[in-house]
Amino acid sequence: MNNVINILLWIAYVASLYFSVFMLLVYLDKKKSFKDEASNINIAKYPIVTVIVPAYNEEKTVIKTLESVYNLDYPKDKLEVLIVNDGSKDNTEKIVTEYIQNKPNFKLLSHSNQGKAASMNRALKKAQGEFFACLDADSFVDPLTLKKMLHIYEHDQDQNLVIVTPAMKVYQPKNLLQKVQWLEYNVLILIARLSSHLDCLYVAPGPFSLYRTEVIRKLGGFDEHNITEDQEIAYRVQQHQYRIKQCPDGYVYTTAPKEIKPFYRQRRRWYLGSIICVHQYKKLIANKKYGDFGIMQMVKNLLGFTLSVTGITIAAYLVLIPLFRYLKNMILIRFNIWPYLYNFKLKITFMNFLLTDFRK
Amino acid sequence: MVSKMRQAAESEEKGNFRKISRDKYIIAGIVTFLIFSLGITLGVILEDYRYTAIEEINLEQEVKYLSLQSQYLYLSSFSNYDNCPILSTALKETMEDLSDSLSEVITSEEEKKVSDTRKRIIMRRYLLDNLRYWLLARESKEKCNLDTVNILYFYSVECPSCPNQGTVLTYFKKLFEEKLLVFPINLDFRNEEPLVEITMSQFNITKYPTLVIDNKKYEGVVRKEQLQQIICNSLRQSEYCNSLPSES
Repeated sequence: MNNVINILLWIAYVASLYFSVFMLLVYLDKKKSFKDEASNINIAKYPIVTVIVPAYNEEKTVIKTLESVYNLDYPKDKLEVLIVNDGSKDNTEKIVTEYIQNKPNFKLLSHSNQGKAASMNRALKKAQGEFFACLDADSFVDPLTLKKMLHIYEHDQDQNLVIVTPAMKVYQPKNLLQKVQWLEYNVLILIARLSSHLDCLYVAPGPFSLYRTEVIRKLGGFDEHNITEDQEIAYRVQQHQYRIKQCPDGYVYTTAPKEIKPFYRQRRRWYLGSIICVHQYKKLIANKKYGDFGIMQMVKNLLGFTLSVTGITIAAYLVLIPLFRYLKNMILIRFNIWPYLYNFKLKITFMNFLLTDFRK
Repeated sequence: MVSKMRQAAESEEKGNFRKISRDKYIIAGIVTFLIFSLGITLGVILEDYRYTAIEEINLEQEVKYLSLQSQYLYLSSFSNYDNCPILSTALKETMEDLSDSLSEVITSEEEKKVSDTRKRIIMRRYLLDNLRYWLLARESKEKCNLDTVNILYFYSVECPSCPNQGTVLTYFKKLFEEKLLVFPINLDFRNEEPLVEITMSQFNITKYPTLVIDNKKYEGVVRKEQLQQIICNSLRQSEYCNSLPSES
């Protein structure tokens, strides 16, 4: 058992160091093009863009989300907003109906609860835009983001570029958990930026990824059976040799879970979804036809998820076993710890340091 | 069929933006290898340094033991003096040193089998030291009538209940401090060290853990209450024994 754990740990060390070094090399290589990549909001044409807002029991935040869409720096007649009420049990429908009363480009679709992917597919059928974006009803988009994203499409001039992903940030982090996530999201923006240069993006975040409508329709829309449809669509796009790029300063603010329980549920869904997606697209793993995405990203994801699962098991093992031993020792001495406290000498010498076995 | 082929050709053509950054993979591999070899080299150097330090401690203890033995010999050859107070203080001092530095060795050793040759030699030396000290402690207890309890603790790394006994012993060592002298003997060394075999046959040790407290043998794990009673019965006075009802 110990040997197995040691071997797994070493694989984890080697793999994480290797991928970090690789990413660092990519960064050093692309450093120059990073500087040239300044944000630009000047676009020649204004294509019609559809923003889909799927909402399920979001009465608290949906208006703020719609407000952020309303405030987008974009001609109103070119912007179509489809709000899909996914059978909410609260006042979402009423609030939204009130809000959109004198806004002709806002439309509300309602149906019984079918899930986020189904809601988006329904809206996708009606969407008139050349591009469409999804915006979760707990997220808020920066006014300039849409123009920045469209600039990337225009600048690239590539019909195969079908998704532009945003730079996701945490909306007003208050407690520690949210602040930690804020930091994580910021690091992920940088990693996504590097991956974007390698054509290795494997997730199109729910809040405000901008898709090319025609291609997503051709690929069959979102997978209604997948728990992380935003990852699945990205993998599918990669599989069909389309491109995904990131807009490094196209900011979208999303509400991060404040408490442990919803946080755990969100992560569980993400990671479980990742494993399912990697399994579903296992043909891409180490497939040379997919360049760096197949050779590096898919292998990394596969390793990452396997290692994180084993990592959690090992962590539990490493915490539980000493805890158990500690408890057993306490029982043996009948919880009488005062001789230990009495004799407690805080003597840390160089010898102590040398006697510590770091491999344990 | 044709459409499928066309589709394949199309996707092939579409995939031409894909690149493989081969040089980066190779460089990353080399850098990773370098970092790891550097780390491993550093680890080996540190390990080496560690053993040197442990050997130094062992040497120091050997000199201390020699000094103690000489003191003992010297004093006992002039038996008309009351030399016991001097001897007992000297013994106490040395014992404290020994238990301090070496209790760490036991705890780390209890957890895994020793395979490294160098470590085995060090452990064997530690074992011999323990036996010698035990002999000395026993003798000085008899001659000088010291108020101490000597415990020989036979254990093996493989035995599952030995750590429990170790915990209880450590607890009493902390409680009674210099009045209790514990000498752990690792029976895994009996093939290498004949002295272990001799001690084992003398006390007729057949199972682990076994405690020998002042020449009496206790097999199996001795629980906290029981051990406290045994210790208190052989100690003449101690503040921790007063609360016991069956004190004799």
